[in-house]
Amino acid sequence: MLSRFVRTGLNSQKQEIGAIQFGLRSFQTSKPSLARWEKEQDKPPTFKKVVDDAATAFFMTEIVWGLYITMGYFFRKKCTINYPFEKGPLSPRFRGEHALRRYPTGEERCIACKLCEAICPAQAITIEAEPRQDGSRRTTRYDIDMTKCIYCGFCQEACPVDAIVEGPNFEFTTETRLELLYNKEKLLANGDRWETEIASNIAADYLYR
Amino acid sequence: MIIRFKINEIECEVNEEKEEMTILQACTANGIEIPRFCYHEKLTIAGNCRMCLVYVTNEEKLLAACGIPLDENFDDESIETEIDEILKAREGVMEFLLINHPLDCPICDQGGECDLQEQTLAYGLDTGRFYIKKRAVEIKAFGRLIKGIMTRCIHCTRCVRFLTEIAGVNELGVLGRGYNMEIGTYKKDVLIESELSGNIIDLCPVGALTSAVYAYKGRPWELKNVKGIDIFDSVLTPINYQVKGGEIFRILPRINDRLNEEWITDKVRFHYESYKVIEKLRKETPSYKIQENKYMELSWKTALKIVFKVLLNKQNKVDVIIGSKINTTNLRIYKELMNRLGSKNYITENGLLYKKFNYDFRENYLNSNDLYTVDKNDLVLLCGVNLRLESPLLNIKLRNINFGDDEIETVKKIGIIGNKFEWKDESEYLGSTVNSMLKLFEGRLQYCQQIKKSKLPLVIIGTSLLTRVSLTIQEIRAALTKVSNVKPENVVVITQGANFGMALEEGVFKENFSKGGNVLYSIDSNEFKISENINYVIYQGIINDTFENKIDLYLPSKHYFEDFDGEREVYINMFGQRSEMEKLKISKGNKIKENSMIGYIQLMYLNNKEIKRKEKEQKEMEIRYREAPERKIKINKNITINNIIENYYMTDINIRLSKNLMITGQNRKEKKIIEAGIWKNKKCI
Amino acid sequence: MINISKIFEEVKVMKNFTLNFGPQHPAAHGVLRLIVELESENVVRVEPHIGLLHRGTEKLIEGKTYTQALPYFDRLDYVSMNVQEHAYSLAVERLYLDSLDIELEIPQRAKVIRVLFSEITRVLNHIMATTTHAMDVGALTPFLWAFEEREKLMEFYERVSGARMHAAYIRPGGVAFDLPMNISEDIYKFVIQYRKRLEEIEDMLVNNRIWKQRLVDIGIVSAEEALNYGFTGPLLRGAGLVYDIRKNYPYDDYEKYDFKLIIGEENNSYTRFIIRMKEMYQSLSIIEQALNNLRPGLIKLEGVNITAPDRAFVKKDMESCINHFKFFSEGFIIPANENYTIVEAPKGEFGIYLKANDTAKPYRCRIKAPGFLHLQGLNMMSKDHLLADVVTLIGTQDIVFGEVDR
Repeated sequence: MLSRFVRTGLNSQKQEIGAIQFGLRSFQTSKPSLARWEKEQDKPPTFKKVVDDAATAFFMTEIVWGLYITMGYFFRKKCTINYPFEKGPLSPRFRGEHALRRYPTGEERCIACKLCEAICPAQAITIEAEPRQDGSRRTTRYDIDMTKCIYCGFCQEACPVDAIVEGPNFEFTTETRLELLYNKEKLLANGDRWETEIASNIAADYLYR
Repeated sequence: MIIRFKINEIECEVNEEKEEMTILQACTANGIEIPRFCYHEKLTIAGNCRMCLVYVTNEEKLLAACGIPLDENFDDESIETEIDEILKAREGVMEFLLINHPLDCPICDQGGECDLQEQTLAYGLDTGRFYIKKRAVEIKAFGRLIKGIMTRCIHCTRCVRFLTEIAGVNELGVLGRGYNMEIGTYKKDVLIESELSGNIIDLCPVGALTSAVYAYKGRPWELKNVKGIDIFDSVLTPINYQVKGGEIFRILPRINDRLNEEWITDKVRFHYESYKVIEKLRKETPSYKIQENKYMELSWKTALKIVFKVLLNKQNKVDVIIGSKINTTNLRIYKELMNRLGSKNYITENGLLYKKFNYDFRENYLNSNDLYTVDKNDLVLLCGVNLRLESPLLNIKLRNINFGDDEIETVKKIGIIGNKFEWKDESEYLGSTVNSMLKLFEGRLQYCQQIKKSKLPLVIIGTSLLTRVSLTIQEIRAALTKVSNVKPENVVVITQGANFGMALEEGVFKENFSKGGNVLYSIDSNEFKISENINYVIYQGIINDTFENKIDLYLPSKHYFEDFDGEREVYINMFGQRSEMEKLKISKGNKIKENSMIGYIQLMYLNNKEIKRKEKEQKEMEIRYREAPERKIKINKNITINNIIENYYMTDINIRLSKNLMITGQNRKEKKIIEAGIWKNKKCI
Repeated sequence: MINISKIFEEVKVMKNFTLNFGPQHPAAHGVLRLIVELESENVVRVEPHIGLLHRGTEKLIEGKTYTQALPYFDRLDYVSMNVQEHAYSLAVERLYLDSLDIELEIPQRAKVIRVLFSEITRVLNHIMATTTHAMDVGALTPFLWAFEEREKLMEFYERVSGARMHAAYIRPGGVAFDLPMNISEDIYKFVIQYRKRLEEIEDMLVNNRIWKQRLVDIGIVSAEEALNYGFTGPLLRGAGLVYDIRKNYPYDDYEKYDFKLIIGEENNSYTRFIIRMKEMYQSLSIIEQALNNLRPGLIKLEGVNITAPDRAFVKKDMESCINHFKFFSEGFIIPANENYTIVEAPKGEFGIYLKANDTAKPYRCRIKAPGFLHLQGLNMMSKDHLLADVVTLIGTQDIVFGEVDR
């Protein structure tokens, strides 16, 4: 099977001098005439070269040139971002804090199909479901352990109704580990808070999904 | 004659006289998979899904493999199942089936175990072409146990055939044709009144018929299987508990061709809701009654001191009644304990029903005929037994009786003594009192001539007869064999109770169990009335609802599927067959885990080795038929043989505490839907 | 009389000085524990102790379906993410497409995008390798300048997949999502300005006498020794051997791209440094060619089990709904087969041996990481060197512990 994809021999390097046999593969050594950096052994030293080398040795030319470049950076515009007031650019596909969305009428979208729980590579999602009073299929428990989650976005791709999404928020640090074990209320509240931005991200990106 | 043919270039042969096979059965026997929706091994052939098409040489059209028998026309033909034409045909059939199927996969309970999904992946297209409106059907209300979202139905008619042929009720039918075809009951709000109605949930290949008790709770890939036993009757069908995280999500049958094929009763399928209710209601520590409705908690040490004080007091006469679910090791332990305490007055609660019982001989409580070969019997006598309520799975087998080929035959093949329950057209009612029974023994009934004419008659006797007549089964057998040509093996006795057979093997039975004692020690048994002499009640079990506050001392214990060391436990059913059960842990209370009565007794009072020695000595159940000794009996002729089970849904506390089963029982009693719950007549979900 | 002094003769034994170049060290790339045996500043023996970052990747993969196993590969060599995903996707595709009766290839656009991102990953990795090597040796400034370029590349990752580092973007069957609008222009702008940045870094380091004194004549490995120890990548090319998997065993239409291989003559650290710097130029030219090759088309195979159907169809169409459900719950089943797939990772030859039985989960996935074999040769390379050269050698071998320990 592997032979379908193995091509013996080379395509580009045709200059061969000698060959080393090693096991099943044969390597070809090439003349060191490709892209060598320096070392011109064959030419005898000219007077210009001797003077250049001596000047470089005494006056440390390359070091001074290096210092010049560094000094140039001193006067350039810096690339540092003033963090809390300026933030880096994000795209609509950014995967951040999770949120559970609702329909525009206010009905929660999640129908407890458990596809997100099945695909999660880290098994961070726990779901329990029951029929609600009016007979529809909803979750009673929807926990995401944000410390286990690897933020891969598979749950977002699996959800058939766009209920669980990874929103654009990445600043959700907490002081205790317990607060990072999100339950359904927290996720729904997240969804309510970030809905405008999540909806605009989805509108910008849905043609690609 | 032997028919030779080829399947996919493999040569096969079939002997037509020995077994009749269709193409589909021949293919599965040779390991070739043919997809199907409407064909089921235990039901008759319908042939309406067209998924099993195969190509036979020189035929114009593709044939449905499920319905083509291999007979003389088939000699030297070759069958192809993998050519391009068939792959195209399968894609076409799948496409047609999916045209009107709703996009319900995320909300459908059958997702993950759905035949339609798996066959679409394997044989169907990758995208569809149908973007016009799909047809929809109203949700049908079939009661509190079955949810019928009939839009998803693909009209394979497996449910219709099952209820007609196997369960015997003709409630579901096919209405309409073509685009307007629906499966349902003819009138609205008619229930499916069968004790086996839950099996159509297993049969339905799509999510049209699903369990309303299991609705939306789990997905099949997250559930694990634990083996179990159905302990509500003495057939002991094997089941699988599907468990996740220490909680039972649903119960499914295990396949056993001799006992239950693939079916289980409604009682065992839906009773697991009661375990959650029990967890809330039960007490975890021993408690002692101080006043009416006031109980004081005790430690195990003091509680056991009280127990032994009461039991060892020579002025007290103790009645020990053991429940029907206790497993065999615990039975032995209790028997040892009672023996050492000097009282031999113990019996299982099912043993209370019998007026006279001789448990010295196995033929009195075990049967060698497990009704597997009922197709050879051509006459059945049902004496004092309501098979449909007592063990519905055996009732199915009666339908296989060889009813004979004569069309002008006017004599019916089933005779019933006792309550009429079923078999209206095929049965002859012989009477409802003990008088008719005696007439049968003496040969004075007209039906006795019919019995003499038949080649292999079968007699089934039930507990309703034996509660009212003080005859042992040996004597009944002797009487019948004298009168007619009934062989001793063909007299089958239907007992009650899961551990009845094992209890009698161990000797946990007392003839003439007089309930004249003044202390009652009930080990997890609820199904009897306390007699009036009793002034002190010790109850050891999980929960009780029939004793009405008369319990003086309560000792908690574990469920029957957790209360043993080791991993497996064996029960014996009324045919002498063993059923195995694995340990299932669902109790959450800590105190129950640490201090179990059994554990305490074992530690303090008994030696484990004695009990284990007995296990090794158990041999196979040999049942020999002997002649009964003669004795003089007084029989009251005018007692009517009424059923011992009045309401199928009230026999056990686990069923009384399951809300859905209880309401179904009420609905059945009053013959209408009182409470259908949230699944009644909804237009949408 | 007994000569007491002869009985109690003191025997002086000189022992070498054993130093623990510990797991927490700014110059040990990741968690590397080296037991260095010194004879007054000369290294006698270097013994790497690894396993401090072992996460059980191969065993965990055995319990997950093929889709769920994909994020593990991002996290192996965590500075060159997409290349390992590329290797895994190729492995799964080869297993699956071998089992079909018809010949299928992934679409043209998917191949171009994969090559594009593999080369962006190569640039990412070589930036990290050279400048952190420089920082360890002592030159602290190129590190800071180059990491700003890394930020720009990670912005491309994020625009196309959603995450800056662990993208889960290259999937079996093609690529996860299509390129968003305007990204080609931005990549082109990056390529143009990056050449200038590279020149600046080269001006700092390449002709610098201090740099040359630290790097030339350190870690010379002959071609035969390199082959014996299993070195691949710049370590092998520096010895004069022409071996690059993109040329020898090309995958994803690499043979259509015009780029040169950089071969060195004398395999010392300086040569390898130059090789890496020059490979970045070649990668930039491949990126430009790939941008020119982009044509409209599909970005993943459609209608096969190994890819999930498009979201729009899942909501409209019954078969797509079923396929989506089955893909995300059960996964796809690959018939029994086994395969070894290699890819030119920036560090060397990265290989995956994948064995499938007829289930939805791989039976065995063995990862051959180049850094593991390079680390084995550290002892050989550091003979007769000084202690400070050990730091140089670790840097020139380009060790990242995620792939060594898995």
